[in-house]
Amino acid sequence: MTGNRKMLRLSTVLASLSPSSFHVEIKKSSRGAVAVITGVMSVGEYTESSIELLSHSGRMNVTGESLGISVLEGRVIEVYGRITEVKLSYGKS
Amino acid sequence: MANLDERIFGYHSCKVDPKDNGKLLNSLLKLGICADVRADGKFSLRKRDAERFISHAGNRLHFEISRPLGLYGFILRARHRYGVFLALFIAVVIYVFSFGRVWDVRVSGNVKLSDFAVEEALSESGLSVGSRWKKVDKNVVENELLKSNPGIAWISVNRRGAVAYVEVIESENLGRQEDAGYPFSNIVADRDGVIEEITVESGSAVVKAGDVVRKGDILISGVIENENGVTFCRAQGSVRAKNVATVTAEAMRETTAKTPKSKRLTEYRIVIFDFSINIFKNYRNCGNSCDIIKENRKIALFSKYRLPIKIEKVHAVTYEETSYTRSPEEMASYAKRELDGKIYSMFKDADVLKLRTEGELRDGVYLMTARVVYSTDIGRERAIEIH
Repeated sequence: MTGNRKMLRLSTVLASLSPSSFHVEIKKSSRGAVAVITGVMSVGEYTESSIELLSHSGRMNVTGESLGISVLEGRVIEVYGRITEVKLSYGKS
Repeated sequence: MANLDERIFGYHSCKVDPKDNGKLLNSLLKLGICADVRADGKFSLRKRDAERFISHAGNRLHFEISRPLGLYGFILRARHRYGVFLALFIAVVIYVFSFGRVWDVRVSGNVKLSDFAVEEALSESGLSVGSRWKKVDKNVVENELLKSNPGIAWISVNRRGAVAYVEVIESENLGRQEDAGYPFSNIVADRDGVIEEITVESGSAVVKAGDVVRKGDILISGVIENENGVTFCRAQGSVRAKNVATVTAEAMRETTAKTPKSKRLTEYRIVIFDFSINIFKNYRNCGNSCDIIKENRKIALFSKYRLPIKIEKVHAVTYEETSYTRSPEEMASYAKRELDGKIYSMFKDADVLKLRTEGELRDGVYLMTARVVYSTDIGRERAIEIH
């Protein structure tokens, strides 16, 4: 597990306040960057270069290199690797 | 990569087809199971979550799961290997037993005194291999050693890890007579000689370099005459004189030679710190016709770092005595060895200035004579009796 505990706790609180939305915190790490994303309902696509995450109201596309996922408690996901782009879109389409 | 929690409480290494990564992650999210999932489908699952995951995703997802890994897995696999647990238990016992004890004593700075002599003296003062560091008071050890060993002028005991490093500075007057504690005394000659050097610390010199003295002559007087009359003191100093001595040694032509007949192990023990474990002991008496040989072997790592483990072996060696005739060369060699031994023991505290050796074979006996010119401290303290 690669999450920062303090960060995770804060993220979980924020997620519980707005369960229908994403909350993302990105920090630098030894592996490139770590993005802690809350409010994830499901994972669409998962490859080393792209990850698609779905929430109640939209989706998030993370692209980069050597990407990996850690699943944490409370529908929190940690994406790590060389993240180059994070794209957010509203709606199901 | 399993974290510490997983390594201690156990985990499974799992793999799914990378195409099913999404399904896997959704299952984990739904169940609230923490896991690190790589893009190639590999992930580790905590032991406590495995059952829940298998019951939920077992039918929906095809995945490979390893046997339990980590410490839990090791214990599970090795539960019937009693030797492993015994070894672990022994390791813990050794750790507890050896913790806080002196593992080795290393002596430095000694020239005339041997390491063994210093280690023995330290042992009597309470510092030896196996002593508990808590019970070793370095100041007490140092003071006791200085009190009991006049040959040591200064000592320092330092602890580095589990090893006691002992630095020693020896007294200059090693070999001189012990302090007699007289209030008033003279220094007198204990043998004849020609004075070479005189050093007076207190008292007045009676002789000078080049004087010939006889045994019993006063060399440094404790009686000092001055304008007010006579005062007494304790004479102190050293007087070196040159003397000549003759030492002889002989070797017989007919002799008996001892040839070892049998060597029997009578005792075998292992000493760890200050505890000894008797492995073998034979109480059979071999009488007077055998020699007892004690062998002490200290175990060292890389022949440098001594361990607090010692193996003690005692052998009883029986000999057979056979008569033997020496050749003239063997007689000379034997006599030379005997003579060297005598000279060493007689003049170990003196400086040998000149040595002349002669040998002669007469009536089956080889007689070797050495004329030794030596220089030594001939002064001995004698109390002054005042009536």
